[in-house]
Amino acid sequence: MSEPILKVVNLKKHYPIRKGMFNKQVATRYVVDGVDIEIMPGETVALVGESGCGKSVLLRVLLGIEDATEGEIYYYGKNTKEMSKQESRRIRKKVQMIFQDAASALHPRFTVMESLSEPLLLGGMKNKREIEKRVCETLEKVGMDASYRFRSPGSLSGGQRQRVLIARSLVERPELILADEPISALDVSLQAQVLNLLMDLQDEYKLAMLFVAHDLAVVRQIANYIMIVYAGHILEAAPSSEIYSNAHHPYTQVLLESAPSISRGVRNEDFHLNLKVGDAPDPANPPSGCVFHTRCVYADERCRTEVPEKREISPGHYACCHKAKTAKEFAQEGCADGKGGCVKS
Amino acid sequence: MTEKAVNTKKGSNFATGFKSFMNFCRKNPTFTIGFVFMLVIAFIAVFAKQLAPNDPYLNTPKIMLMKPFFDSQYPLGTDTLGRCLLSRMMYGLNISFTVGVTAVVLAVALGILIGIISGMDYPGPFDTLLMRVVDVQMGFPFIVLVIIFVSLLGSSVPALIGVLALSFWAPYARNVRGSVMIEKNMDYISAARLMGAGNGRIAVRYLGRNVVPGVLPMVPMDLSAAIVLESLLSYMGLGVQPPEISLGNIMGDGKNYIATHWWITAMAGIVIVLVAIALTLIGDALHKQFDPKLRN
Amino acid sequence: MEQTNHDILLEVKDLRTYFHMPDGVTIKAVDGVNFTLKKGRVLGIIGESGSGKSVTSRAIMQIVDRPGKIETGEIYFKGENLLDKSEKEMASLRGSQISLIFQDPNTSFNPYMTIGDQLRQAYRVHRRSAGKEECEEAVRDALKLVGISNWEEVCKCYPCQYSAGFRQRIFIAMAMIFKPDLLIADEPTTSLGITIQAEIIQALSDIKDQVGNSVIIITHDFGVVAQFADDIFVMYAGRCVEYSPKRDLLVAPRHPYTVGLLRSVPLLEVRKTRRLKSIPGFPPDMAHPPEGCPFAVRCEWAQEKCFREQPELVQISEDRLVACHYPLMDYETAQDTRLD
Repeated sequence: MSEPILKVVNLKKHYPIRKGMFNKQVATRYVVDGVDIEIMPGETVALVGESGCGKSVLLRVLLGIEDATEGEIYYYGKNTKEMSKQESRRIRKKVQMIFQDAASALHPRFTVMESLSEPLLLGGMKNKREIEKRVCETLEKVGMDASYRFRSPGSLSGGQRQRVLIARSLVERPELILADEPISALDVSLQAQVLNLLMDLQDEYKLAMLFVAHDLAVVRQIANYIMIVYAGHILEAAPSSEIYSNAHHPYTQVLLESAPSISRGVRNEDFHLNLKVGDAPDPANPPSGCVFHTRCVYADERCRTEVPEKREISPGHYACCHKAKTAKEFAQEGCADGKGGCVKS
Repeated sequence: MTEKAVNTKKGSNFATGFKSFMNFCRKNPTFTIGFVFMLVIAFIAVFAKQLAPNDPYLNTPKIMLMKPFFDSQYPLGTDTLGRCLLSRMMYGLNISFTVGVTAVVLAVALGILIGIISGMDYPGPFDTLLMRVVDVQMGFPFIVLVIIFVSLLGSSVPALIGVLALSFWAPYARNVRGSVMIEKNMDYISAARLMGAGNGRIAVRYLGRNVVPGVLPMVPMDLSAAIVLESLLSYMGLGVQPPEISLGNIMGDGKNYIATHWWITAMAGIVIVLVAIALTLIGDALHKQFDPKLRN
Repeated sequence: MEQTNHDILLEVKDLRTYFHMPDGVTIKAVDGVNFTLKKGRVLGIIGESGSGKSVTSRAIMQIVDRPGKIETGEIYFKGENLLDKSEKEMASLRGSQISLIFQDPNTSFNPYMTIGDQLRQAYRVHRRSAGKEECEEAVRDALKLVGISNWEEVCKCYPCQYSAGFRQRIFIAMAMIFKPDLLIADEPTTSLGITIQAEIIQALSDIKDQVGNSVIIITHDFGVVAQFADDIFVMYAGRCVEYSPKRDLLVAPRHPYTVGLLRSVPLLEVRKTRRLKSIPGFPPDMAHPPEGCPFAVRCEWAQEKCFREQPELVQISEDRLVACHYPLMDYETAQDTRLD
């Protein structure tokens, strides 16, 4: 059982920008640019990145809603490009998605029952009673009374809708769930509820999960392996404990240090934003060299010209940075351009 | 959500539907007036043959141009050929309704079909083509369309239905296409695709359900317009041909005597106006109900 | 808490704002809120969606939209009751003495006007006769305040040419153009990414250091208030449940709801117990609030009295107020936070 459920090799998704009468391609948006992922059964991998970094597009490509420009996707060791229709149908049942926005991911005029029975009907289940039984079971699994199946999404609260969405991804008894920010639209108290629910279900069904989030704190609770995404690239990937204790990429360090945090608030600490003010690069016009150099305070000439290779820091811990080292070491070295782009506290 | 609401058992669909309909009626008295009036008119139209006191085609020259409210056998009087006006109006309603309802149903069906295809295809070639057709259709003068149609097919009830359906479908297609273009980017459509739903299923089961409420309020308005237009065409002699009776025909027959026997034209006209008003009241209420911007 | 205290900038007493819906239901969005804000302090209002935190800020500005209505209450700003003021007087206060920043920087600008024009226009609202130079100076100062040094260039551009984070910065500049004494920030960072969020909070705290204004920051994110606020005010179901200096509240919350919230927030520094302790159930429906304490049904410490009687906000120590019949006097957050 050491075969990964999902393996992604050098995946790229580029969108052409077309203009003019003949739709001439004038530029390309490099939304996902060379991503490798491997998910073992029962494991949770988290993709962490800010909005617009390409995480959602990546998920859509993985699910086959959009085609990859380049690169391979393997489910259970089989390349998606070589799969027959039947095989991809079978895979589809095993791989499910949880959407971020429960309000738009449920058909507003379907009852919960209809929404949940749809995947079963499409999966070929015919017996009505069996379908109903499965739906009720699954609803109870996500902590909702079976009587909710007659309600429409409009009469449910946000937390309940998210539960229905999770239930829908579970009715087919999948083995891998791709979750696109499943809790970020919820209130704090409900976030914890849903996060716990996901972990319970994971234990029960031995689910593997690809968990997309923008928040390293949430991910800490659930993920075994964390990948940091920035502008379509994976900048650092490491087992969970490594990321929090031994991050080697300046961007990861910024994410860890800049997120407003309760503990720092308690200690009355100011926070240091070790980042040049600015934005993530425009995917239509990516910077040369390292994608992060436009905002990195340690960037030098080499970072501006040369694309960094993936470096192995320790087993399973990779960072894409010429200078990869711990935050402490970075701090000792100081900023590259002498005066420092470091923002004062 | 209170706990109480959670525990309510699902009642029968019909009973809850009826209850909310009654509630809606109570809140919209104008709707109720229009609706009840239309129920009566529709009943008369459907059962015209059973309800009519006399044979509407029977000429009785002896009693021609009888005034209304004079003879109990001919409550609304007679026309130039001595035919019972009340019976003729009932039959006329029947035809006018058949033409109007069929035309609008066809137009809605055609509009929804084209709108969904177009919206799902956007920004593809089908969509471009279909929308150009819609543009042409909406820019084309109605009367010219009628004349072309009538001269090609001759004027008959099916031709009339066709021409009316053709002149009403375009706004539906536009409207449906617009909402399909919004809806198809929603996550639930992606989710459906992930489950393996094909285009047909998505169009019918997912999009179909969402676009129908959007066009529903347009239907009564168009129905009233269709009935008025049908009467207009028949009045001009381009629509239903004698001996078939329509409200427009009755008015047309009466127009030569309008100076002396105005009620022949007036009575049929009043019926048309009342029907149009009633349908507008219904349409208005539906608009308010379905358009969240007006609901407030 | 005397009114005469010169340190106090804003004092809200028993503020109630109800929404009378057309179908006859009354939603008590804000149902008895009391707090005071001292000069130069930052007050964080935290609550979940629907807890009435945004309506509170709108009530202070008196821009509650219909069908909402301020039912009762007193809002003393610099010793004067804002609710006694006419609409004209309020208008002259808005922007010049009290400013509001919204959540969504995308819709807060007119897309067809340059940033410079919009800022100048904002300045002319209260200084109608201002000359060109005076305007320029005010705009420059405001943009510099939020750390934009190439202000001339920025002024010539349109809002859509900048990212959401930058636009939010400009919007803060616009709100600060008269250096108001009170800045209300309604979820200023919610729609932004983490690094941008940090930038904005940084900008807000820099401004506060320079201008010395007071800030009310409204958010659902404990991290943000923990980092930025001096005092925290927790809202639940339209009421204040706990009001306390930041550190005390975070280390030793007294109200069960605050405890529940803090327990359910995942921490960056440590992994909490394998499962977060979440608050069960859902917030109450504001159209039919429960009779007793609104939190009672979700509270693990609730007793019979909680379902019967609504607790008042009472002082439990020098600067802490709690609305609970049985406040948790010896709870400490640390007991729920441990490494695996």
